[in-house]
Amino acid sequence: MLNRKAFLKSMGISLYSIATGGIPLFLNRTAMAANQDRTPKTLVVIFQRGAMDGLMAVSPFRDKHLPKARPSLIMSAGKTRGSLINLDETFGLHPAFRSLHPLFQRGELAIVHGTGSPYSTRSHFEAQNYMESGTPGIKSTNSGWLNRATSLLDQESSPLQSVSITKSQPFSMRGQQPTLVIPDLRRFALPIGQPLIKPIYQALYAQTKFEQLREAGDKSISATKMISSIQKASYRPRKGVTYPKSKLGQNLSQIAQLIKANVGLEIAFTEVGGWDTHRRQGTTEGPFARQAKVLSDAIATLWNDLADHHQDVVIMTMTEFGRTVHENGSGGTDHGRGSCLFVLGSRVDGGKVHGSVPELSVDLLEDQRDVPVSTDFRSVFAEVARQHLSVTDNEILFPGWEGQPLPLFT
Amino acid sequence: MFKYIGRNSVFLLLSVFTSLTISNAKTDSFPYAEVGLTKREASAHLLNRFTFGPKPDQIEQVIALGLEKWFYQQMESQNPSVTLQNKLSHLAITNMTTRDILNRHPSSSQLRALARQEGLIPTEDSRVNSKEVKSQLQKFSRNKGFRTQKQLVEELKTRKILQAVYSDQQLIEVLVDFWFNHFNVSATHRQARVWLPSYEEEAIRPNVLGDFRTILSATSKHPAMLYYLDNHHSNAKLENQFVRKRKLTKEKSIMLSDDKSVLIRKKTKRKKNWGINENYARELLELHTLGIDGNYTQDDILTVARALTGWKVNTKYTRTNRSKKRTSDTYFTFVSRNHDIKAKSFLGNYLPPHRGIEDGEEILDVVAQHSSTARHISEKLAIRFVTEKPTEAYINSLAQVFLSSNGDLTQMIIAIAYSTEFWTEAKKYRRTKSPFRMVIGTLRAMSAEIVSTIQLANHIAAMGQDLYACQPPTGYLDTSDNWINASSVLHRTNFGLDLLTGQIRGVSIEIGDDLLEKSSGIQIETICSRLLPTQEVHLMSKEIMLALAKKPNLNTKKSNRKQKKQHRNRWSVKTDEWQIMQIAGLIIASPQFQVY
Repeated sequence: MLNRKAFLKSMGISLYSIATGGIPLFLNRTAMAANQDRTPKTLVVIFQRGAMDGLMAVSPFRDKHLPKARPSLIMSAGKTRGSLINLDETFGLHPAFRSLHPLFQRGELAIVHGTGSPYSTRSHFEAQNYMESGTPGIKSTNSGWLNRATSLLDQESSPLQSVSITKSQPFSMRGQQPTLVIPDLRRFALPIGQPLIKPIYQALYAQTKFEQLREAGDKSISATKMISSIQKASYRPRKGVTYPKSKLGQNLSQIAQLIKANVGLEIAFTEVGGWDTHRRQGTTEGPFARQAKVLSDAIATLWNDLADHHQDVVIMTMTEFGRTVHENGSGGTDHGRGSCLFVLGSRVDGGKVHGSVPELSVDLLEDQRDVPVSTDFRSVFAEVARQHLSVTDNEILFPGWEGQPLPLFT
Repeated sequence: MFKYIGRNSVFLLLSVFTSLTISNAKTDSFPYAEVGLTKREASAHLLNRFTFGPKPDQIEQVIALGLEKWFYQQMESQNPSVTLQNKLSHLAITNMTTRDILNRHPSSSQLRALARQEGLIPTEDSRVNSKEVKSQLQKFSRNKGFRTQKQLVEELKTRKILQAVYSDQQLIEVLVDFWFNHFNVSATHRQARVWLPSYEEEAIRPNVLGDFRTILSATSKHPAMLYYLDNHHSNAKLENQFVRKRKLTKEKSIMLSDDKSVLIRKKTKRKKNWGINENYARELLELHTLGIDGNYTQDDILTVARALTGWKVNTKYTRTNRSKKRTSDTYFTFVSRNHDIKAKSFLGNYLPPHRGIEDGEEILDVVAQHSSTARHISEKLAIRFVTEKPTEAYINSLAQVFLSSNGDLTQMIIAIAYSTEFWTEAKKYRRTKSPFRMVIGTLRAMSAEIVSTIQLANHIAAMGQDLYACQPPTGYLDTSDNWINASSVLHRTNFGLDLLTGQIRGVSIEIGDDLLEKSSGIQIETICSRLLPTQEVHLMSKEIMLALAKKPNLNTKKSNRKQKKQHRNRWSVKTDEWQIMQIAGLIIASPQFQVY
């Protein structure tokens, strides 16, 4: 727990009294936690925007209908680099996800197949909103499930309790709880070298009647203080670990930096696009394989970098829906229903493909075209929230939902 | 309930939904006095909403001209001002035809193919990435006068910024921005990218004040959209296609003849890539026309996709004259053999079998005048020009105008300008400026001189609006929820301070010698009135600024030496001018400046 003590010392309580007019509550809590030797848990959520083709990511490769449905997208399992990695004689992992395979073998990575929303929209916009609000079919929800999860965590919190490393605020984080959007940690600062700027900026934003702006200004002040204290040197990952140059890799390295700096980060969100493979989806090469490699390499690197924090971190991916079982007229796939997601953590019941995908004969498909949704995404999210963040109030987390969490942890 | 008499004539809307009264006679005055606005406040509001922000003294100029007269002038087409023409003349794309642009900006794979044709680089794939090949390609590209697609997109951004800052036809620029975003195409798409200059100038710009059906049609047939949302690659299933007689060999055929062609069920080996791609059809309904709540089904999407099969980019268009093949002057083409000729039904309309392009045209007819589309377009226009949270009644009243005028977009703008709701929003300042609106508004208010726009574009991107690079087809959501967060307000602050302290390369701002001689108090008042012409600047803000102005020896002891060195340019030059610039920077950074 040397980290935390060092952190408390280095932050200097006085710095915070300026912003909050007293000893900040979250530091009290961190101090308490330090005494109790309890480490806060962090959930890292990665949204794959554009709808990942679950059938290509984790393929039921022995299904006899697949070659007919996807003549130009079919792959077989085997030992060669270009073939699917046989996971359990039923499912094969796309070779571009290779870097996740060791985690699956070690039992840390679980896959849940046939996941999606019970509300059958095939619009990206709508399906993403429903997945992020956590209330499929209900448009009036104006908060995200991760914001509500934040409200169920301890209240005396760090300004960096819930952070989204994205360009703009994702729906998942929208709501009453203060959450923070940081497109790039390194650029999250006011001009330095002019000490008057900060108090003036603070005063300008404190007195405005525009609530949204007042909140944003207030948050930015407390967060810049904290971030500048951990940004003094550039981030150095664990020895031997180099993050991929991809945007996702860089975003995850910033999340790792926040986790290691022990600033009270409990929920982290980021996203990766490029899954909307309507055209020339490809097999071992092409847009799907490219994005799969970006995703898996970034996750594997983060996990590797966080080797000393495995007890405290869970990583979960999600995507708004899957894609059509049959390929379309341009070697791609159109919007579908069920897809798959990954949950990674030391207590995860990994090394297994949870959920289910039926035989892919047309009559067993949803609307004769898509993988049916056999697992409501909320039963996965609720399980992760319950097991990892000790957030159990599903009435608040997913209002109106009557389902049960899917057991995914040991 | 109401009678539509015609364009430029008076009609009254006595809708049950609202008390909105619409008048579009040029002589009628805007109903601002009724809601308690002074003429000056009304002029400022008009400029705030229908331009990218008022220039110095423009509020008074518009009053002198007459608010209504200014407004109608904005809708007439004029030649660009000499200033703007001069600025644009430096851009290579200004003097290029669409074909020139296409031919001079090959993608890297096209460049390789051309170089290979001329035998300049080897054909085998193993060596394609060697240094030698790369330098050959560069040399080849230079000799041919090619430019990179990255340069093209940079120029496109430059053109947009220059037009937005310097054009006198502000309403047109605002509408081009709005409709481009509505029919978004992103430069992140490899095939669409090179078509963007033409898309903006030929599909969007000429149609922003026409009828909705026309702009819808123009976007649907433009290669940028055909590539971006894959309709170019959508084809009828083989058994549903037209096949001309001369292409037949000995296949068994079912004859279903019409005059010129013979329909057959072709039994050949399955050709690759025959089939529907429903990407465009879905976004056409969801984003461009009916809206997500427009009551259509997956079957409707499929029908639209089938109706639009065969709508393709005419690849003959880009052929150069030197290749002996035929060229064409149009970049859209209908390829009948890829069209689905089976009967279709869509939202209660029956489309008979064995037709061609008229299938798609009929779909566009139906959706362009559908009540869901009227509602959807009205809501978006209301959000953009009136308030972020328009009432149902207001949306419905605009939708009535849309329907009764057959989607006349000029009538829509007039209806907005004559609505009470538009004017009651003045002085409420609850519409958040998009990053682009905020940056352009600043440049206009400060009479900035722009030489280069690269850093400006980077600032706009950092605030969350990367120009021409909104990757999803939704376009940017133009509301405060999307634009305002802790990080974006920091970036807005940094932009203000960087701009006014001369840290943004390619942009200069002169404050004027006469102002420099005035007292700090007057300087602050002057700058405030220029940037926030109608907003009360909080007394406390002014006091803070005054305090800053009175503090010549700014204490920098907290920053370490390295930082001092880095920021020497920004913070160590403590002239009078620098001080007033810094204050202006803080006004730009202030919350009041983020709303309009």
